[in-house]
Amino acid sequence: MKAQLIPIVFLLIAASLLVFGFIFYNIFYGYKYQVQVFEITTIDVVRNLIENFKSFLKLSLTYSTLQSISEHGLAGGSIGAGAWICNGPNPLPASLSKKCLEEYTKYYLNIYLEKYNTTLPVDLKASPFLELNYDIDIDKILRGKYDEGNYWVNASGAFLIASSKDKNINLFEIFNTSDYITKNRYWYLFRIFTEWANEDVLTKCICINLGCACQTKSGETSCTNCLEESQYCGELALKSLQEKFDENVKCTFSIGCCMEGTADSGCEVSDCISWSSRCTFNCTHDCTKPPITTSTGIEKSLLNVPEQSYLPSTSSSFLSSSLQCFSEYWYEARFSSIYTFTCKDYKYYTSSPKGPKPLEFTVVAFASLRDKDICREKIPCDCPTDAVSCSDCRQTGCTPCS
Amino acid sequence: MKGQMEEILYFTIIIFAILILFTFFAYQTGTKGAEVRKTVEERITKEEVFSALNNLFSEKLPISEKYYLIMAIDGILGGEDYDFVYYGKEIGGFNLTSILTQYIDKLIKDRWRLEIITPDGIQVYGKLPIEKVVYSWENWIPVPYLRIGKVVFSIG
Repeated sequence: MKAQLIPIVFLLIAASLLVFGFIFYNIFYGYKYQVQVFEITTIDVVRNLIENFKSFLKLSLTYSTLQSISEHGLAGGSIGAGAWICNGPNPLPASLSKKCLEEYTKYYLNIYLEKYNTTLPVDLKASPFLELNYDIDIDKILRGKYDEGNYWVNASGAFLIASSKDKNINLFEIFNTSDYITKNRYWYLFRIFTEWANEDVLTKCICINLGCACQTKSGETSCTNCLEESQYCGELALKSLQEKFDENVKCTFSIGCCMEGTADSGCEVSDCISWSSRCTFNCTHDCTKPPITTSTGIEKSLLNVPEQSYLPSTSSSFLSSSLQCFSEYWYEARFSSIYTFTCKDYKYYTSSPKGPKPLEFTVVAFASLRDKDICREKIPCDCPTDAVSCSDCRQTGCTPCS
Repeated sequence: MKGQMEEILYFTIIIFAILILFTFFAYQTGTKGAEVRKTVEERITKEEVFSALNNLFSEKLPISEKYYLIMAIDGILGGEDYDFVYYGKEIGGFNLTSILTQYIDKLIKDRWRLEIITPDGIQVYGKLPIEKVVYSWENWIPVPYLRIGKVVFSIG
Protein backbone atom coordinates (compact mmCIF):
# COMPACT_ATOMS: atom_id res chain seq x y z
CA MET A 1 0.00 0.00 0.00
CA LYS A 2 2.69 2.41 1.06
CA ALA A 3 4.73 1.40 -1.95
CA GLN A 4 1.83 2.24 -4.24
CA LEU A 5 1.17 5.60 -2.58
CA ILE A 6 4.67 6.97 -3.10
CA PRO A 7 4.58 7.15 -6.90
CA ILE A 8 1.07 8.65 -6.78
CA VAL A 9 2.14 11.32 -4.34
CA PHE A 10 5.21 11.96 -6.46
CA LEU A 11 3.07 12.37 -9.56
CA LEU A 12 0.63 14.66 -7.77
CA ILE A 13 3.45 16.85 -6.45
CA ALA A 14 4.99 17.01 -9.94
CA ALA A 15 1.67 17.98 -11.45
CA SER A 16 1.09 20.62 -8.79
CA LEU A 17 4.57 22.04 -9.34
CA LEU A 18 3.82 22.29 -13.08
CA VAL A 19 0.55 24.08 -12.53
CA PHE A 20 1.88 26.49 -9.94
CA GLY A 21 4.99 27.07 -12.02
CA PHE A 22 2.83 27.93 -15.00
CA ILE A 23 0.70 30.31 -12.94
CA PHE A 24 3.68 32.12 -11.41
CA TYR A 25 5.39 32.27 -14.78
CA ASN A 26 2.33 34.01 -16.26
CA ILE A 27 2.11 36.38 -13.33
CA PHE A 28 5.74 37.55 -13.32
CA TYR A 29 6.78 37.20 -16.95
CA GLY A 30 3.28 37.92 -18.10
CA TYR A 31 3.48 41.21 -16.30
CA LYS A 32 6.76 41.97 -17.98
CA TYR A 33 5.21 41.00 -21.29
CA GLN A 34 2.27 43.25 -20.52
CA VAL A 35 4.60 46.18 -19.90
CA GLN A 36 6.37 45.47 -23.18
CA VAL A 37 3.08 45.30 -25.03
CA PHE A 38 2.04 48.56 -23.40
CA GLU A 39 5.28 50.21 -24.46
CA ILE A 40 4.95 48.89 -27.99
CA THR A 41 1.37 50.16 -28.10
CA THR A 42 2.50 53.55 -26.81
CA ILE A 43 5.27 53.67 -29.41
CA ASP A 44 2.67 52.77 -32.02
CA VAL A 45 0.42 55.57 -30.81
CA VAL A 46 3.25 58.08 -30.81
CA ARG A 47 4.42 56.97 -34.26
CA ASN A 48 0.87 57.34 -35.55
CA LEU A 49 0.74 60.78 -33.99
CA ILE A 50 3.89 61.75 -35.83
CA GLU A 51 2.46 60.42 -39.09
CA ASN A 52 -0.74 62.37 -38.43
CA PHE A 53 1.32 65.47 -37.82
CA LYS A 54 3.18 64.98 -41.09
CA SER A 55 -0.10 64.62 -42.95
CA PHE A 56 -1.43 67.74 -41.26
CA LEU A 57 1.67 69.70 -42.23
CA LYS A 58 1.42 68.59 -45.84
CA LEU A 59 -2.03 70.09 -46.19
CA SER A 60 -1.01 73.12 -44.14
CA LEU A 61 1.75 73.85 -46.61
CA THR A 62 -0.77 73.78 -49.45
CA TYR A 63 -3.12 76.18 -47.71
CA SER A 64 -0.27 78.44 -46.55
CA THR A 65 1.03 78.68 -50.10
CA LEU A 66 -2.40 79.42 -51.54
CA GLN A 67 -3.11 82.03 -48.88
CA SER A 68 0.21 83.77 -49.55
CA ILE A 69 -0.39 83.71 -53.28
CA SER A 70 -3.90 85.15 -52.92
CA GLU A 71 -2.79 87.92 -50.59
CA HIS A 72 0.23 88.83 -52.69
CA GLY A 73 -1.94 88.97 -55.78
CA LEU A 74 -4.31 91.40 -54.08
CA ALA A 75 -1.40 93.52 -52.88
CA GLY A 76 0.31 93.85 -56.26
CA GLY A 77 2.87 91.06 -56.02
CA SER A 78 4.28 91.85 -52.60
CA ILE A 79 2.89 92.95 -49.24
CA GLY A 80 4.29 96.47 -49.38
CA ALA A 81 4.43 96.81 -53.16
CA GLY A 82 4.50 100.29 -54.64
CA ALA A 83 2.81 101.48 -57.80
CA TRP A 84 3.77 99.54 -60.92
CA ILE A 85 3.63 102.68 -63.01
CA CYS A 86 4.99 105.88 -61.48
CA ASN A 87 5.27 108.40 -64.28
CA GLY A 88 6.95 105.57 -66.09
CA PRO A 89 7.40 101.81 -65.84
CA ASN A 90 8.04 100.62 -62.29
CA PRO A 91 7.08 96.92 -62.22
CA LEU A 92 7.78 94.87 -59.12
CA PRO A 93 10.89 92.70 -59.47
CA ALA A 94 10.00 89.01 -59.60
CA SER A 95 12.72 88.21 -57.08
CA LEU A 96 11.05 90.45 -54.49
CA SER A 97 7.69 88.80 -55.06
CA LYS A 98 9.24 85.36 -54.68
CA LYS A 99 11.09 86.35 -51.51
CA CYS A 100 7.97 87.86 -49.98
CA LEU A 101 5.88 84.82 -50.88
CA GLU A 102 8.43 82.61 -49.15
CA GLU A 103 8.39 84.75 -45.98
CA TYR A 104 4.63 84.73 -45.68
CA THR A 105 4.19 81.08 -46.59
CA LYS A 106 6.68 80.11 -43.91
CA TYR A 107 4.93 82.38 -41.40
CA TYR A 108 1.51 80.86 -42.07
CA LEU A 109 2.87 77.31 -42.05
CA ASN A 110 4.41 77.87 -38.63
CA ILE A 111 1.11 79.20 -37.32
CA TYR A 112 -0.59 75.99 -38.43
CA LEU A 113 2.24 74.02 -36.83
CA GLU A 114 1.70 75.76 -33.50
CA LYS A 115 -2.02 75.04 -33.59
CA TYR A 116 -1.52 71.28 -33.73
CA ASN A 117 -2.06 69.45 -30.46
CA THR A 118 -3.31 66.13 -29.15
CA THR A 119 -5.62 64.84 -26.40
CA LEU A 120 -3.54 61.69 -25.99
CA PRO A 121 -1.25 61.41 -22.96
CA VAL A 122 1.73 62.44 -25.04
CA ASP A 123 3.82 65.58 -24.72
CA LEU A 124 4.48 67.31 -28.03
CA LYS A 125 7.15 69.93 -28.54
CA ALA A 126 7.34 71.25 -32.10
CA SER A 127 9.98 73.57 -33.46
CA PRO A 128 9.02 75.84 -36.40
CA PHE A 129 10.17 75.54 -39.98
CA LEU A 130 13.34 77.53 -40.63
CA GLU A 131 13.55 77.42 -44.39
CA LEU A 132 10.93 77.71 -47.05
CA ASN A 133 11.72 77.89 -50.70
CA TYR A 134 9.75 78.32 -53.91
CA ASP A 135 11.70 76.28 -56.41
CA ILE A 136 11.44 78.85 -59.18
CA ASP A 137 14.02 80.18 -61.61
CA ILE A 138 13.54 83.96 -61.56
CA ASP A 139 14.75 84.38 -65.13
CA LYS A 140 12.14 81.99 -66.44
CA ILE A 141 9.15 83.67 -64.82
CA LEU A 142 8.96 86.34 -67.51
CA ARG A 143 9.41 83.71 -70.20
CA GLY A 144 6.24 82.02 -69.11
CA LYS A 145 7.64 78.82 -67.65
CA TYR A 146 5.48 79.04 -64.54
CA ASP A 147 2.34 80.40 -66.19
CA GLU A 148 0.35 77.34 -65.06
CA GLY A 149 2.22 76.85 -61.80
CA ASN A 150 4.14 73.55 -61.87
CA TYR A 151 6.77 74.25 -59.27
CA TRP A 152 7.71 72.87 -55.88
CA VAL A 153 7.42 74.64 -52.55
CA ASN A 154 9.78 73.08 -50.01
CA ALA A 155 9.80 73.61 -46.27
CA SER A 156 12.47 72.28 -43.95
CA GLY A 157 14.04 72.67 -40.55
CA ALA A 158 11.15 71.76 -38.27
CA PHE A 159 11.37 69.01 -35.70
CA LEU A 160 9.09 67.35 -33.22
CA ILE A 161 9.79 65.74 -29.87
CA ALA A 162 7.07 63.39 -28.69
CA SER A 163 7.33 61.77 -25.30
CA SER A 164 5.01 59.73 -23.13
CA LYS A 165 3.93 61.24 -19.82
CA ASP A 166 6.25 58.97 -17.82
CA LYS A 167 9.16 59.94 -20.13
CA ASN A 168 9.86 56.30 -20.92
CA ILE A 169 9.38 56.93 -24.61
CA ASN A 170 10.97 59.81 -26.45
CA LEU A 171 10.77 60.20 -30.18
CA PHE A 172 12.55 62.87 -32.15
CA GLU A 173 11.73 63.51 -35.79
CA ILE A 174 12.90 66.13 -38.27
CA PHE A 175 10.28 67.34 -40.73
CA ASN A 176 10.68 68.37 -44.30
CA THR A 177 7.59 68.78 -46.40
CA SER A 178 6.95 69.75 -49.99
CA ASP A 179 4.02 70.56 -52.17
CA TYR A 180 3.80 70.68 -55.94
CA ILE A 181 1.77 73.70 -57.00
CA THR A 182 -0.20 73.20 -60.17
CA LYS A 183 -3.15 74.89 -61.86
CA ASN A 184 -2.28 78.25 -60.40
CA ARG A 185 -1.68 81.29 -62.61
CA TYR A 186 -0.16 83.77 -60.21
CA TRP A 187 3.03 84.03 -62.22
CA TYR A 188 1.07 84.34 -65.47
CA LEU A 189 -0.76 87.36 -64.08
CA PHE A 190 2.53 88.71 -62.75
CA ARG A 191 4.22 88.32 -66.14
CA ILE A 192 1.47 90.03 -68.10
CA PHE A 193 1.25 92.92 -65.66
CA THR A 194 5.03 93.34 -65.92
CA GLU A 195 4.85 93.51 -69.72
CA TRP A 196 1.98 95.97 -69.52
CA ALA A 197 3.75 98.19 -67.00
CA ASN A 198 6.87 98.25 -69.18
CA GLU A 199 4.81 99.44 -72.16
CA ASP A 200 3.24 102.14 -69.99
CA VAL A 201 0.36 103.33 -72.09
CA LEU A 202 -0.97 105.28 -69.13
CA THR A 203 1.76 107.86 -68.62
CA LYS A 204 1.84 108.64 -72.33
CA CYS A 205 -1.91 109.18 -72.32
CA ILE A 206 -1.81 111.49 -69.31
CA CYS A 207 0.99 113.45 -70.93
CA ILE A 208 -0.93 113.85 -74.19
CA ASN A 209 -4.08 114.96 -72.35
CA LEU A 210 -2.50 117.47 -69.99
CA GLY A 211 -4.19 120.24 -71.90
CA CYS A 212 -7.51 119.38 -70.24
CA ALA A 213 -6.33 121.24 -67.15
CA CYS A 214 -5.76 124.55 -68.93
CA GLN A 215 -9.14 125.93 -67.88
CA THR A 216 -8.57 125.13 -64.24
CA LYS A 217 -8.48 128.21 -62.11
CA SER A 218 -6.54 126.61 -59.29
CA GLY A 219 -3.04 125.44 -58.70
CA GLU A 220 -4.35 122.07 -57.58
CA THR A 221 -7.88 120.86 -57.25
CA SER A 222 -9.94 117.73 -57.73
CA CYS A 223 -10.61 116.97 -61.36
CA THR A 224 -13.52 118.67 -63.03
CA ASN A 225 -12.17 119.55 -66.46
CA CYS A 226 -10.02 116.44 -66.67
CA LEU A 227 -12.49 113.82 -65.50
CA GLU A 228 -13.19 112.60 -69.00
CA GLU A 229 -9.51 112.43 -69.86
CA SER A 230 -8.79 110.55 -66.67
CA GLN A 231 -11.49 108.05 -67.53
CA TYR A 232 -10.27 107.83 -71.11
CA CYS A 233 -6.66 107.13 -70.11
CA GLY A 234 -7.84 104.50 -67.66
CA GLU A 235 -9.86 102.81 -70.36
CA LEU A 236 -6.99 102.96 -72.79
CA ALA A 237 -4.63 101.36 -70.29
CA LEU A 238 -7.26 98.76 -69.43
CA LYS A 239 -7.75 97.87 -73.09
CA SER A 240 -4.02 97.46 -73.53
CA LEU A 241 -3.92 95.23 -70.43
CA GLN A 242 -6.95 93.13 -71.33
CA GLU A 243 -5.63 92.43 -74.83
CA LYS A 244 -2.56 90.77 -73.36
CA PHE A 245 -4.55 88.22 -71.37
CA ASP A 246 -6.42 85.21 -72.70
CA GLU A 247 -10.22 84.95 -72.56
CA ASN A 248 -10.18 83.50 -69.04
CA VAL A 249 -9.02 86.72 -67.42
CA LYS A 250 -11.26 89.72 -66.88
CA CYS A 251 -9.83 93.08 -65.91
CA THR A 252 -11.37 96.21 -64.47
CA PHE A 253 -10.06 99.49 -63.23
CA SER A 254 -11.06 102.22 -60.85
CA ILE A 255 -9.86 105.75 -60.41
CA GLY A 256 -8.64 106.40 -56.93
CA CYS A 257 -7.74 110.01 -57.17
CA CYS A 258 -7.63 112.72 -59.84
CA MET A 259 -6.14 116.18 -59.55
CA GLU A 260 -5.68 119.02 -62.00
CA GLY A 261 -4.25 122.50 -61.90
CA THR A 262 -2.45 125.30 -63.62
CA ALA A 263 0.51 127.44 -62.74
CA ASP A 264 2.61 130.20 -64.12
CA SER A 265 5.56 128.72 -65.91
CA GLY A 266 7.57 131.93 -66.28
CA CYS A 267 7.54 131.33 -70.02
CA GLU A 268 9.71 128.27 -69.61
CA VAL A 269 9.22 125.31 -71.93
CA SER A 270 9.33 121.67 -71.09
CA ASP A 271 8.05 118.27 -71.99
CA CYS A 272 5.92 116.29 -69.56
CA ILE A 273 7.70 116.36 -66.24
CA SER A 274 6.86 115.08 -62.84
CA TRP A 275 4.35 116.95 -60.68
CA SER A 276 4.25 116.58 -56.95
CA SER A 277 0.56 116.57 -56.19
CA ARG A 278 -1.61 115.65 -53.22
CA CYS A 279 -2.59 112.56 -55.18
CA THR A 280 0.44 110.38 -54.53
CA PHE A 281 1.31 106.74 -54.14
CA ASN A 282 4.40 105.04 -52.89
CA CYS A 283 6.69 104.09 -55.74
CA THR A 284 9.12 102.01 -53.71
CA HIS A 285 8.61 98.26 -53.73
CA ASP A 286 9.17 96.48 -50.48
CA CYS A 287 8.14 93.40 -48.55
CA THR A 288 6.59 94.19 -45.19
CA LYS A 289 7.57 91.45 -42.79
CA PRO A 290 4.69 89.45 -41.34
CA PRO A 291 2.41 89.84 -39.41
CA ILE A 292 0.72 91.93 -42.06
CA THR A 293 0.04 95.59 -41.69
CA THR A 294 -1.26 96.25 -45.14
CA SER A 295 -2.14 99.62 -46.39
CA THR A 296 -4.26 99.31 -49.47
CA GLY A 297 -5.64 102.82 -49.57
CA ILE A 298 -4.28 105.56 -51.67
CA GLU A 299 -2.40 108.15 -49.68
CA LYS A 300 -3.78 111.62 -49.88
CA SER A 301 -2.43 114.69 -48.26
CA LEU A 302 -4.77 116.41 -45.88
CA LEU A 303 -3.37 119.84 -46.61
CA ASN A 304 -5.80 122.32 -48.03
CA VAL A 305 -4.18 124.15 -50.88
CA PRO A 306 -5.78 127.52 -51.27
CA GLU A 307 -7.30 128.30 -54.60
CA GLN A 308 -4.91 130.29 -56.67
CA SER A 309 -5.49 131.60 -60.04
CA TYR A 310 -2.71 131.35 -62.57
CA LEU A 311 -4.57 132.62 -65.57
CA PRO A 312 -2.85 135.67 -66.98
CA SER A 313 -4.04 139.10 -66.09
CA THR A 314 -4.90 141.32 -69.03
CA SER A 315 -5.13 144.60 -67.20
CA SER A 316 -3.10 147.37 -68.67
CA SER A 317 -2.06 150.84 -67.63
CA PHE A 318 -1.66 151.98 -71.21
CA LEU A 319 -4.42 153.68 -73.07
CA SER A 320 -5.64 151.30 -75.74
CA SER A 321 -4.63 151.88 -79.30
CA SER A 322 -6.24 150.91 -82.55
CA LEU A 323 -3.40 148.47 -83.26
CA GLN A 324 -4.29 144.79 -82.77
CA CYS A 325 -1.06 143.20 -81.57
CA PHE A 326 -0.85 139.92 -79.75
CA SER A 327 1.74 138.05 -77.84
CA GLU A 328 1.66 134.33 -77.26
CA TYR A 329 1.48 133.36 -73.63
CA TRP A 330 1.82 129.93 -72.20
CA TYR A 331 1.47 128.49 -68.77
CA GLU A 332 1.72 125.21 -66.99
CA ALA A 333 -0.99 122.58 -66.82
CA ARG A 334 -0.98 119.81 -64.27
CA PHE A 335 -2.79 116.54 -64.22
CA SER A 336 -2.45 113.52 -61.99
CA SER A 337 -4.47 110.37 -61.65
CA ILE A 338 -4.16 107.15 -59.66
CA TYR A 339 -5.68 103.93 -60.92
CA THR A 340 -6.18 100.48 -59.52
CA PHE A 341 -6.22 97.72 -62.12
CA THR A 342 -7.60 94.37 -61.05
CA CYS A 343 -7.59 91.21 -63.11
CA LYS A 344 -9.36 87.99 -62.13
CA ASP A 345 -8.43 84.63 -63.51
CA TYR A 346 -11.48 82.41 -64.05
CA LYS A 347 -9.52 79.50 -65.46
CA TYR A 348 -8.46 78.12 -62.08
CA TYR A 349 -10.05 78.97 -58.77
CA THR A 350 -7.95 79.03 -55.63
CA SER A 351 -8.92 78.11 -52.07
CA SER A 352 -10.12 80.87 -49.79
CA PRO A 353 -12.09 81.18 -46.52
CA LYS A 354 -15.24 81.39 -48.66
CA GLY A 355 -14.38 78.39 -50.81
CA PRO A 356 -12.61 78.39 -54.19
CA LYS A 357 -12.52 81.83 -55.81
CA PRO A 358 -10.84 83.28 -58.91
CA LEU A 359 -7.29 84.47 -58.31
CA GLU A 360 -7.10 88.26 -58.31
CA PHE A 361 -4.12 90.40 -59.14
CA THR A 362 -4.35 94.09 -58.33
CA VAL A 363 -1.86 96.73 -59.33
CA VAL A 364 -1.73 100.47 -58.69
CA ALA A 365 -0.59 102.79 -61.44
CA PHE A 366 -0.29 106.51 -61.32
CA ALA A 367 0.86 109.38 -63.42
CA SER A 368 1.34 112.86 -62.07
CA LEU A 369 2.66 115.22 -64.73
CA ARG A 370 2.91 118.83 -65.71
CA ASP A 371 3.93 120.57 -68.86
CA LYS A 372 5.13 124.14 -68.62
CA ASP A 373 4.12 125.27 -72.07
CA ILE A 374 1.10 123.22 -72.96
CA CYS A 375 -1.55 125.88 -72.30
CA ARG A 376 -1.22 128.59 -74.93
CA GLU A 377 -3.16 131.70 -75.52
CA LYS A 378 -2.79 134.81 -77.54
CA ILE A 379 -3.15 137.86 -75.36
CA PRO A 380 -3.30 141.45 -76.56
CA CYS A 381 -0.19 143.50 -76.11
CA ASP A 382 -0.21 146.82 -74.37
CA CYS A 383 0.03 149.31 -77.22
CA PRO A 384 0.30 153.07 -76.61
CA THR A 385 -2.01 155.31 -78.58
CA ASP A 386 0.83 156.55 -80.70
CA ALA A 387 2.13 153.10 -81.55
CA VAL A 388 2.58 152.66 -85.28
CA SER A 389 3.66 149.01 -85.25
CA CYS A 390 3.51 146.09 -82.92
CA SER A 391 7.12 146.49 -82.03
CA ASP A 392 6.08 149.68 -80.19
CA CYS A 393 3.78 147.66 -78.00
CA ARG A 394 4.64 146.19 -74.65
CA GLN A 395 5.00 142.44 -74.70
CA THR A 396 2.53 140.92 -72.31
CA GLY A 397 3.17 137.27 -73.15
CA CYS A 398 6.10 135.06 -73.78
CA THR A 399 6.72 136.06 -77.38
CA PRO A 400 7.20 139.50 -78.98
CA CYS A 401 4.05 141.26 -80.07
CA SER A 402 2.97 140.54 -83.58
CA MET B 1 -8.68 -8.15 -5.05
CA LYS B 2 -8.79 -5.17 -2.77
CA GLY B 3 -5.22 -4.33 -3.76
CA GLN B 4 -6.07 -4.44 -7.42
CA MET B 5 -9.07 -2.20 -6.91
CA GLU B 6 -6.91 0.27 -5.09
CA GLU B 7 -4.41 0.20 -7.94
CA ILE B 8 -7.11 0.79 -10.53
CA LEU B 9 -8.43 3.66 -8.40
CA TYR B 10 -5.05 5.29 -8.13
CA PHE B 11 -4.36 4.90 -11.85
CA THR B 12 -7.76 6.47 -12.56
CA ILE B 13 -6.90 9.41 -10.30
CA ILE B 14 -3.56 9.88 -12.05
CA ILE B 15 -5.08 9.73 -15.51
CA PHE B 16 -7.85 12.07 -14.41
CA ALA B 17 -5.31 14.53 -13.02
CA ILE B 18 -3.29 14.39 -16.24
CA LEU B 19 -6.46 14.97 -18.26
CA ILE B 20 -7.32 18.02 -16.11
CA LEU B 21 -3.84 19.40 -16.59
CA PHE B 22 -4.08 18.84 -20.31
CA THR B 23 -7.44 20.55 -20.50
CA PHE B 24 -6.12 23.45 -18.51
CA PHE B 25 -3.14 23.98 -20.81
CA ALA B 26 -5.25 23.52 -23.93
CA TYR B 27 -7.75 26.11 -22.69
CA GLN B 28 -4.97 28.56 -21.96
CA THR B 29 -3.49 28.09 -25.40
CA GLY B 30 -6.89 28.37 -27.01
CA THR B 31 -7.72 31.56 -25.13
CA LYS B 32 -4.36 33.03 -25.95
CA GLY B 33 -4.93 32.13 -29.58
CA ALA B 34 -8.25 33.92 -29.56
CA GLU B 35 -6.68 36.94 -27.91
CA VAL B 36 -3.87 36.97 -30.41
CA ARG B 37 -6.31 36.63 -33.27
CA LYS B 38 -8.36 39.51 -31.86
CA THR B 39 -5.25 41.64 -31.49
CA VAL B 40 -4.16 40.89 -35.04
CA GLU B 41 -7.60 41.71 -36.43
CA GLU B 42 -7.68 44.93 -34.42
CA ARG B 43 -4.27 45.84 -35.76
CA ILE B 44 -5.36 45.11 -39.34
CA THR B 45 -8.47 47.26 -38.86
CA LYS B 46 -6.38 50.10 -37.43
CA GLU B 47 -3.94 49.83 -40.32
CA GLU B 48 -6.83 49.84 -42.82
CA VAL B 49 -8.28 52.97 -41.32
CA PHE B 50 -4.91 54.65 -40.95
CA SER B 51 -3.94 53.82 -44.50
CA ALA B 52 -7.25 55.05 -45.92
CA LEU B 53 -7.06 58.32 -44.08
CA ASN B 54 -3.40 58.77 -44.97
CA ASN B 55 -4.34 58.41 -48.61
CA LEU B 56 -6.93 61.14 -48.28
CA PHE B 57 -4.20 63.43 -46.97
CA SER B 58 -1.64 62.54 -49.58
CA GLU B 59 -3.46 61.53 -52.75
CA LYS B 60 -4.75 63.98 -55.32
CA LEU B 61 -7.69 63.64 -57.66
CA PRO B 62 -5.97 63.51 -61.08
CA ILE B 63 -8.37 65.88 -62.88
CA SER B 64 -8.26 68.68 -60.36
CA GLU B 65 -4.79 67.94 -58.96
CA LYS B 66 -6.12 68.76 -55.51
CA TYR B 67 -5.88 66.59 -52.39
CA TYR B 68 -9.15 64.75 -51.69
CA LEU B 69 -9.33 66.24 -48.23
CA ILE B 70 -8.75 69.76 -49.52
CA MET B 71 -11.61 69.33 -51.95
CA ALA B 72 -13.85 68.20 -49.10
CA ILE B 73 -12.85 71.20 -46.98
CA ASP B 74 -13.32 73.60 -49.91
CA GLY B 75 -16.76 72.15 -50.49
CA ILE B 76 -17.87 73.12 -47.00
CA LEU B 77 -16.31 76.57 -47.18
CA GLY B 78 -18.01 77.25 -50.51
CA GLY B 79 -21.31 77.43 -48.60
CA GLU B 80 -24.77 76.37 -49.77
CA ASP B 81 -24.10 72.91 -51.15
CA TYR B 82 -21.30 71.30 -49.15
CA ASP B 83 -21.32 68.40 -51.55
CA PHE B 84 -20.26 70.41 -54.58
CA VAL B 85 -17.05 72.27 -55.32
CA TYR B 86 -16.14 74.33 -58.38
CA TYR B 87 -12.54 75.03 -59.39
CA GLY B 88 -12.85 77.24 -62.45
CA LYS B 89 -13.54 76.97 -66.18
CA GLU B 90 -10.71 74.61 -66.92
CA ILE B 91 -11.24 72.12 -64.09
CA GLY B 92 -14.97 72.43 -63.57
CA GLY B 93 -17.10 71.27 -60.65
CA PHE B 94 -17.23 68.01 -58.71
CA ASN B 95 -19.76 66.07 -56.73
CA LEU B 96 -17.79 65.20 -53.62
CA THR B 97 -19.96 62.30 -52.48
CA SER B 98 -19.40 60.54 -55.77
CA ILE B 99 -15.65 61.17 -55.80
CA LEU B 100 -14.98 60.27 -52.19
CA THR B 101 -17.22 57.21 -52.28
CA GLN B 102 -15.50 55.90 -55.40
CA TYR B 103 -12.08 56.47 -53.93
CA ILE B 104 -12.61 55.11 -50.42
CA ASP B 105 -14.67 52.13 -51.60
CA LYS B 106 -11.57 50.90 -53.42
CA LEU B 107 -9.83 50.73 -50.02
CA ILE B 108 -12.68 49.75 -47.70
CA LYS B 109 -15.87 48.74 -49.41
CA ASP B 110 -19.04 50.35 -47.97
CA ARG B 111 -18.32 49.99 -44.23
CA TRP B 112 -16.84 53.43 -43.67
CA ARG B 113 -17.86 56.90 -42.58
CA LEU B 114 -15.95 60.14 -43.12
CA GLU B 115 -16.75 63.25 -41.15
CA ILE B 116 -15.16 66.59 -42.03
CA ILE B 117 -15.55 69.18 -39.29
CA THR B 118 -14.68 72.81 -39.96
CA PRO B 119 -15.54 76.07 -38.17
CA ASP B 120 -17.98 76.78 -41.02
CA GLY B 121 -19.80 73.48 -41.10
CA ILE B 122 -19.75 69.70 -40.92
CA GLN B 123 -20.14 67.24 -43.74
CA VAL B 124 -20.49 63.47 -43.50
CA TYR B 125 -19.77 60.96 -46.26
CA GLY B 126 -20.30 57.19 -46.33
CA LYS B 127 -23.21 54.86 -45.70
CA LEU B 128 -22.11 53.47 -42.33
CA PRO B 129 -24.56 54.47 -39.59
CA ILE B 130 -22.94 55.83 -36.46
CA GLU B 131 -24.33 52.98 -34.31
CA LYS B 132 -22.34 50.45 -36.31
CA VAL B 133 -18.99 52.14 -35.90
CA VAL B 134 -16.36 49.80 -34.52
CA TYR B 135 -13.27 51.90 -34.77
CA SER B 136 -12.64 55.62 -35.34
CA TRP B 137 -9.56 57.57 -36.14
CA GLU B 138 -9.28 61.31 -36.15
CA ASN B 139 -6.79 63.99 -37.01
CA TRP B 140 -6.63 67.75 -37.16
CA ILE B 141 -6.91 69.39 -40.56
CA PRO B 142 -5.93 72.91 -41.62
CA VAL B 143 -8.72 75.21 -42.78
CA PRO B 144 -8.18 78.52 -44.66
CA TYR B 145 -7.19 80.97 -43.32
CA LEU B 146 -5.11 79.80 -40.35
CA ARG B 147 -7.96 77.86 -38.78
CA ILE B 148 -8.23 74.26 -37.66
CA GLY B 149 -10.81 71.58 -38.23
CA LYS B 150 -11.00 67.85 -37.72
CA VAL B 151 -11.44 64.75 -39.81
CA VAL B 152 -12.95 61.60 -38.29
CA PHE B 153 -12.75 58.37 -40.22
CA SER B 154 -14.78 55.44 -38.89
CA ILE B 155 -15.00 51.83 -39.90
CA GLY B 156 -17.65 49.27 -39.18
